[in-house]
Amino acid sequence: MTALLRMQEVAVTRSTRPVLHSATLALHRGERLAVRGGIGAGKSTLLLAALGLLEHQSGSIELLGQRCRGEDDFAPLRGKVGLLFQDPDDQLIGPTVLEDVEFGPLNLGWDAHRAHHAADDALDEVGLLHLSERPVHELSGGEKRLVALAGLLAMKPTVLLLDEPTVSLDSDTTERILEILLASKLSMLVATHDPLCIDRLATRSVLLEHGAITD
Amino acid sequence: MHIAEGVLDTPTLLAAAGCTAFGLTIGLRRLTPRTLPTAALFAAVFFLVGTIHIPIGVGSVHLILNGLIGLLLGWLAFPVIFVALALQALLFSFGGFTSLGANTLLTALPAVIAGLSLRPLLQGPSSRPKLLIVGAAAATIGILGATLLAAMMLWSTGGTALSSLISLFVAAQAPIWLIEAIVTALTVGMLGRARPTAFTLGT
Amino acid sequence: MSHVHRPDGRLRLAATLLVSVAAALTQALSSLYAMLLIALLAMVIVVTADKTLLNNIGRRVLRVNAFLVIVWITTSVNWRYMAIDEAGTLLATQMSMRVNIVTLAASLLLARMSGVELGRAAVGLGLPNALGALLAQVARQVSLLSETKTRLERAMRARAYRSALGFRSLQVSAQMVAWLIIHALARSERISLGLRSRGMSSTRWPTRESTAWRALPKADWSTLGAVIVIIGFCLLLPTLEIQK
Repeated sequence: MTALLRMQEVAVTRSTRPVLHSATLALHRGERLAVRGGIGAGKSTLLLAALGLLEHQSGSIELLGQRCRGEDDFAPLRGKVGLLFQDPDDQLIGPTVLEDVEFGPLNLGWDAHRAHHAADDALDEVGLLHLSERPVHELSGGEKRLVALAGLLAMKPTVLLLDEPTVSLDSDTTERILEILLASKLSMLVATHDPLCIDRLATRSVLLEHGAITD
Repeated sequence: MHIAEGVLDTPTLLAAAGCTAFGLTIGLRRLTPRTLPTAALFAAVFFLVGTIHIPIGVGSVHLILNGLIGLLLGWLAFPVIFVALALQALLFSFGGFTSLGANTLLTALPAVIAGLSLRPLLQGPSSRPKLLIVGAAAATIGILGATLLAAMMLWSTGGTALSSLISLFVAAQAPIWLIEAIVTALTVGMLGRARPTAFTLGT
Repeated sequence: MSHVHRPDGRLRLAATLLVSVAAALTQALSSLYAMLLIALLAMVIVVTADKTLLNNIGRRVLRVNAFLVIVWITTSVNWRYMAIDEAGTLLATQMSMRVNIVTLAASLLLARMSGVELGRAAVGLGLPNALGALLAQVARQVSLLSETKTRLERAMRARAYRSALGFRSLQVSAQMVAWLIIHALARSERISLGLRSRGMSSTRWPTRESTAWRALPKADWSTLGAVIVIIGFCLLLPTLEIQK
């Protein structure tokens, strides 16, 4: 079975510090794979490398069945693979909620009408359609996380990469995020140390420790 | 838009430094320990804006956005642009320290003119077309003003010997003006909706 | 990491300004040649002692000389008559030497100086406290905002954005600028609250006292002295030539 994401012996160095030295994993269709690990284990690095946003020094990465080495390989696939950043302030760029959610679809070359429609649907999916015209900087932390997720869903991805999707959220918003993710029926790679998230969401989990992945 | 260190002659440098000192004096009256963090952040934004490159064909241009800075800061644009340029001179040798007065003047004076003439139009709710027009106008004043001042300084230094350089320089500003007008207009449009109070600083 | 001693910032900045002023004032080619030669020699010595500076200085020199190529093309040739323009050539020569002298001097004398140190040095030489404080703050905020901008650009790439010639790039650039400004405004409000909660005065500028001039090591003064002597020698060269 072709994996949606396959990382083989991937090594990544940040500044001069080796973070991953032998990361190997495969995400198959329908799976929700949790990557556990303590603080500083390299979970964020793993996700950034998977999408080519950080260069890997060795090993191989296959995304949606295609071997990806450089920016030219990764860039065309980013619409199909959505990455939810740990800090939504790193992700949200639009002045208003609707404009932010439209950002991704417009990058995919969709016309304004189609992008607007996709953004509306995504905001509806996360329950924030009523905040379309709200300036992004006036949102609460939980709302920002939901808007960031909507921004990915609007692009109609095949796979989601999620970096600590429930961190710093209250229990209600955590529950809401988990429900939305389950309802999406998307395959996903979730970097998390939240036991509730692993319990509710993951179909399988692996441990990232000392730069390598173990089952 | 920087004039390299060592290009302008002494009388031009002194005249420009004198004008800049005057602008700084007025701008510093609006700088207090309370407004310092905001001014510092805007200077940092202005510094970083210079690292945003717009691809045009085989090359790229970097944004200046002095018109926008003027809209946001008014007379505070003088000290803010002064320190941002000083930092650029230190870190990248963009311009230099003896030409700091000249570079500050050609960037900040049009910014202040844009601010003084157009900021009053943004006090209170503004429609999107109005925001876009004000933004484009600010960029026009900013870039054309800077171009004119730079051309005058080069002319003052070299006269007819630099006429070809000046002509080339002025002609090269046309695409830059167009890009700046569009980016400034869109930015003002976004700020006007998301953060309209942004245009009341430095008053 | 370099272990080369760096003199007091005020003296380094003063030396840089003296070199810039001297280069700007002198018209004599012999003086400019001498200053350039000495600056090149100084560069070789300093870079030998601290190889990590080579990249930085090299990039600056290349950048300013790329501009000078345009100056030469436009001033040294009369394109109408396809003839060498002597006055233009002289001007281009003087400019080229001045630009390189000042770039090298600033790169060497102010090597590894931070924005905070620059602010302190400038205040020590007479810049108003307010501007020195602003410069120091800006240096800090640039590094923080720069990290934020990098993360934002990464997130944009994650959502399939690629910079290209076209209206979309201009729109996204405008979004980036607007975002930076909104972020800066929100951040400045938080910083103000933090400063006020720690008793920041509304009238006194946050500055640090510099070392008293008298307490500076002799080696620091020697550096400034050496620069003054060299400048003096270079400026006197035309006089010595005439006397010969």
